[in-house]
Amino acid sequence: MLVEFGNVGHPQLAGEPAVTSMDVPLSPVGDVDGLDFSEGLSAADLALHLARNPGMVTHLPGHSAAIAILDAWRAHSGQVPPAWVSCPGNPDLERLLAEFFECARGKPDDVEATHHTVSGPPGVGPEAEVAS
Amino acid sequence: VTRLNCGYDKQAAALAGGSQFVAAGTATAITATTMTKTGAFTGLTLDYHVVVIVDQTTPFGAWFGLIISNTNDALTVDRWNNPGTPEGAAGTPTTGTHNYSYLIVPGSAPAMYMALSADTAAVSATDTSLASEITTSGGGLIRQRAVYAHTAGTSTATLTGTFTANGSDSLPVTVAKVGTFSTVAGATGKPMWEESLVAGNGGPGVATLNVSGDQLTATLTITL
Repeated sequence: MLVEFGNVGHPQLAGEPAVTSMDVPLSPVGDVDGLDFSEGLSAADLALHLARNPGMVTHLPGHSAAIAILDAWRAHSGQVPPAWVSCPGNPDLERLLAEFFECARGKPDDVEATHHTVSGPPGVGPEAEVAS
Repeated sequence: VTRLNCGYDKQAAALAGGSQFVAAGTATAITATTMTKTGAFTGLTLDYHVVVIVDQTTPFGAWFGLIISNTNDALTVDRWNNPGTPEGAAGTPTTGTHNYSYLIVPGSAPAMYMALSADTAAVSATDTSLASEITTSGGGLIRQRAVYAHTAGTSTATLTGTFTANGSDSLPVTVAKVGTFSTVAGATGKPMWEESLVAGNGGPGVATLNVSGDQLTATLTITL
């Protein structure tokens, strides 16, 4: 499952907007083969749990996907919250992350024009890859 | 995080297509972890490559395996994976003599899976396995697919695993080392990266899981 963030804090990009993409292996709740996500968790409860458990060990069974995403985000963000989050494959996870970071939901229509993406720097879209 | 010598081998294969070739043919036999084609792999070294098998008999089906080793006549894979859910249960292609086409493609995903260990020794670049890897059947601390994340335009990527202990795990356990692999089956394949969590080894500190439901999250930042 693809989760994307609007990143304006990556240390290598000096504040230039970029897309951070995460490939999240989502499995049924309790399945040991991947990460799980249970609907309904509030952002406030998630934040409280993380504040009480600031190290590597947490205790939120059924929510390992959210835990992993937030830990990965810390490594990309320069401690700056994302401008937006997009997860069309799981609207409730997108809702949770947007509430947690207090950011917008959904990828901007002009993302290729304004962000570093896999197609290139701002202004370069996927058509450039086709042309090359 | 330390890139192991065998990790460089994996990276070379993944980036440059490996030292060998793309091959295709018809398999003569399949087991849960092997594929046979007499003489087809003579003189070749195919570990780190991906082999795709396609059942040519109704109702068809396709699976892929990460090649661990090969002989002149057979490939050994970690298992046959379902393409849509490589983190899920193993695929179950019909075994024995059956009508399969196969395709060996260059490259692989050399660090798709993450594994844990209680081993406190420092990481050595010459490691070729994750010592004392946790492989408890049915446990929540076994090798699992990692979250891969990358920010466009940057030179780093991250691999993140969140492991939730369950009733099958032997607890408490103090996790002291993390490794990444191309294969999902525990104690198979060679690691690409390892990181010791031991503070004395430069890590962030070991993590102890005491009860079912405790989770360990580890993020490895790798420079591409």
